[in-house]
Amino acid sequence: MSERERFQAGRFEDDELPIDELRAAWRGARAPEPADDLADGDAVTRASVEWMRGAWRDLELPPVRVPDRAPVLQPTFGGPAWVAAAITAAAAGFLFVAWFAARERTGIAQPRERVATEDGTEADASEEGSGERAQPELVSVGANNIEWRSGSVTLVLVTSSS
Amino acid sequence: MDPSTRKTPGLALLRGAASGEPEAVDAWFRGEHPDVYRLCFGFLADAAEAEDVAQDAMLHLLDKLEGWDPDRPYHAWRDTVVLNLCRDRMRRNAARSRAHSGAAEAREQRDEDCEHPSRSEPVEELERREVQAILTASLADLTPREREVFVLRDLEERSTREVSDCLAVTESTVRTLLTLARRRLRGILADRLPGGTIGGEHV
Repeated sequence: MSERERFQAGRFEDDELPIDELRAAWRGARAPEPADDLADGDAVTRASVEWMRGAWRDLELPPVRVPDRAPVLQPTFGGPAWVAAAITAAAAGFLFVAWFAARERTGIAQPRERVATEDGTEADASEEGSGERAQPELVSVGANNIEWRSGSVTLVLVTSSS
Repeated sequence: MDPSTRKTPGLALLRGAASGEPEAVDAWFRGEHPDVYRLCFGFLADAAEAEDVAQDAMLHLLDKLEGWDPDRPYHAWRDTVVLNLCRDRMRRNAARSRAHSGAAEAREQRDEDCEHPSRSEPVEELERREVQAILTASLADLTPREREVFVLRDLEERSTREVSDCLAVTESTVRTLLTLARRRLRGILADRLPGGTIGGEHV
């Protein structure tokens, strides 16, 4: 006779309860999953859900208000926004480095060197026909734009705000 | 409902709508709005709120359509977007403390509307307005989570897996919430339908 049979037959004393077996059974027990298939439910539940479905199908719908025009879509570069941002940043970086190198080479935006003239007064060294003034000059750097100027020519690069 | 039989806008239509082609936008909007409204109505249990949120949801979906991944089921994506907008609305309403008083007033009104409904088949034997009032009141009496599960699983007939994906909960949780919702609805309908009889079954 197994312990279970002995227990069912009431042949256990209180201190003889098969507690380990009970504990193992307790730990191994799994609650049955609630049925989500309506067919498994009782007739009243099925009727309730069917009533709700009927009312749902017959739901009065409001008029459709199609927007007058489609929302204006932002132009894209054919890829994610971060790609466009990376390309813009790289271009800006390259231009900045190029400008910085030119600045170092030509001294643009540096205080102009003053030289003594024959009559004892000072004059701008660049006025002596050096020809270096044709180099582009960075006019401004904004969050969305960079502007260079060279003589009468102005170059403005504008990046997308998005 | 078999997902394969569910009405899904064609890929060409979705792409056209995403790129802003007027005809595609119009066709997509008219095709999708009824389903989106139903979802909003089910989640919010309020017709006026649902109409408002559905319009927002349609514009939001149109705006985001370009970013939809065609490898992901369209309905799952759409339902999740709509669900999140409805939850946002419910949170805002709760924060404004309008939900409690507003729902109570609306419920009183609905109770008055439901005073003399008949039984059995809703469309044939009840006036449309009365049916809608009972439907609204019954959904409003569920908790938001129960409502979401019940609407998606029993009314929209999504699979348990789809519902669990949409709500980001386990399938076991979906089953539990569904059981609770169905049980609660039995009681709600018994109170609201005279004679406590639905389709010949005593509740």
